[in-house]
Amino acid sequence: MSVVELEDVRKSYGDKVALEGLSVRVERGAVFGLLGPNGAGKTTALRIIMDIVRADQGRVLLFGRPLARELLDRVGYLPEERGLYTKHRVLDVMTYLGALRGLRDGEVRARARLWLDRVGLRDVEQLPVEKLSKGMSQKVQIAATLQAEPEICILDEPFSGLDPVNGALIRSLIQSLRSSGQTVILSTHQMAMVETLCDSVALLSRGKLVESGTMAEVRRRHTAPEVRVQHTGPLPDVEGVAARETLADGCLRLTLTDEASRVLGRLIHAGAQITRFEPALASMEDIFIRVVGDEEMPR
Amino acid sequence: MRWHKVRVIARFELVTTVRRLGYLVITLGMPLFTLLYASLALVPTYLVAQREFGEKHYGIVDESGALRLAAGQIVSVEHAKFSVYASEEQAREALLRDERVASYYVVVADYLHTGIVHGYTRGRAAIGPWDGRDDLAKLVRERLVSASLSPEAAERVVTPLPQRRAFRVESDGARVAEPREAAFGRLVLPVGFVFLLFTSVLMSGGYLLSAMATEKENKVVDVLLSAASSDEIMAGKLVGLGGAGLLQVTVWLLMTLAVRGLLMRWLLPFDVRVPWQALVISPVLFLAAYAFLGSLMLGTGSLGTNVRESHQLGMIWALLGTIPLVFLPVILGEPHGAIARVLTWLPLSAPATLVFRLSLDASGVALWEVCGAILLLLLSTVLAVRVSARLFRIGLLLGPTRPPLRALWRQTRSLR
Repeated sequence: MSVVELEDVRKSYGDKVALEGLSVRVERGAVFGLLGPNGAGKTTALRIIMDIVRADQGRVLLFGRPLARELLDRVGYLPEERGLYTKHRVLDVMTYLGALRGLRDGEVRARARLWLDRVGLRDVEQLPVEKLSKGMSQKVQIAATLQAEPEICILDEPFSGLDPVNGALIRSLIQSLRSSGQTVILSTHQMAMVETLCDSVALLSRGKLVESGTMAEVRRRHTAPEVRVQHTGPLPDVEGVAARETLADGCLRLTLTDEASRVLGRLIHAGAQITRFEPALASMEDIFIRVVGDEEMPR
Repeated sequence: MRWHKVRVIARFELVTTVRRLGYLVITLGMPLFTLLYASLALVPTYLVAQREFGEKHYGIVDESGALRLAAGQIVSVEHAKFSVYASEEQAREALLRDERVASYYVVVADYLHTGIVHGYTRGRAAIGPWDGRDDLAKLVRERLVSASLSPEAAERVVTPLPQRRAFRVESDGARVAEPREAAFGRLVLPVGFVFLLFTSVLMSGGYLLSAMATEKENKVVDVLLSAASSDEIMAGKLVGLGGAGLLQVTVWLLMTLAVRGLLMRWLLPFDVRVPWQALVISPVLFLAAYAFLGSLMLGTGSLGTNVRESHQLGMIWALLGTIPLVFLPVILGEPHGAIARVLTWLPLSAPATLVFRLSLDASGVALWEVCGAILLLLLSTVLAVRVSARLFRIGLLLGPTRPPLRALWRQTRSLR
């Protein structure tokens, strides 16, 4: 079931078209990657979902219903342009944002402390925000977004400004959100994170959707007919292999002209000792560069 | 509008503001500062009064003979003494010789025909010779009428209204004696109302604009707008920061009342009479006026691209709100005249004008006029809050440069 649905959404800022007929669906419980180069329209799409800016045209459905303020209480949002009240204490900011998100007076403080604990910042709760490092401040923002345990978590560039350790912490948080059945919409430029975390993706360029689907579908669509083979002993020449290339790790990359299963059968019949035989799926980074590069190239 | 969100925002803004050191310093320090300032201002006033009421000496030469003054005579008039000289030369010598003589006057020969009197004073004197003109005028009047009128009639010519008594005729024909200072007493409420309203609007308006600028600066706008609508944010800020402004004014009032024995008798040495109609209506008008002006200030102020510009834009409304004060002499003169009636129907001037009119003469304001003006003010307030909420939303999302007015208008209309 779709929890977020955009249908033919258009948005312009003056003469600049930010979104041009965008249609996407996000399934409940999935981690959905909204990808694209800078200025592709990702943040605009997320701000439209959060009713911060309004679409010029098109329809936005949340939980199957037209976008309404009441529904947004079930959505957490970590914006790309984010900050905190610098003069306030961390706990005060957390409780304020928690109360705004609908947490009751009795539970808001306890919930804030729990989430500060989860991001490893329990000991800074009495410090003013301005005393925190950039990374700590970032983690407080993420904790503030997630403390109300929203059904949908929209995270716009959650990894920016984080070191690898904190990046891994946020990655594991996102994984735990998925485990608990929450839906995550993730906008990031870190393609390794996308491959690890996302179930499905949408790739935007110049306000238009240029690629979408489950991770497996998208990667398969952009993968050349190649396999990666690990073997012991010699690998005989068989029909259906057009080229072979030895990779840095000692494996071979075979470019096929026939179906992979048939080629595998021929190799085994010819006496090859094969320990690994897998399709060489294109990486998200390659897909991103290929698809976006084609779109962004000056014409 | 979800009121629990408004409550959360209002509480946050109120607590944040009242905890600020600057707020505490202004709240607790302002009365002391005002007292110090007033004390300093009183020093020259006291010195001038001493000079005013101390006995003064003047010289006079009566060339006309109309005043029937003989040379060498000394005539007393209230706080002044006039030494009579035979000629202008003698008076001049006395002025130069005797420091106590402030000036001398020469009533010229054809004074009765021309009215000419020459005044002389020392070259180094800062104030001209006509500082003593009231005493001289009284002397001239006394001397002119004493020859032809009885002493009582002469006294009435010199001081025609020494004791004034006032009465009000009620609608049932009953006459009620009114103390001389009652008119001032009736002004206490409207003047206090206007003072409280504008102090609250200015103080709260300042806090509103600063809070909004801080949020823009700290980049928390998107977080806020994702959790609450612009209407809810604006309403929360108006309530919370308005509360901070009102709290400040209340503390000042309480501090003034605390030193009542010292100050109130001096400030209000007369009866304070306030018609019940004005008392009942004041809180409603106050809240509506605050919401009206506050929302307009916040809406237009949010279009500023920095704190200074926001303050400049927002404060335009505070200035416009002082329109009734510009027309105050007209309202005092004719509380039910055409201008006062027109001002009653304008949302910007209605609150202060209504309170002034009801305090001065409640019987002259028809019930339909009061209800109609309040209804119009409330409707205008609702409209102002709605328009300002749109401007506020645009303002919050504004980047470092402001789009042209035309684009702003288009955006305002396109928002739901």
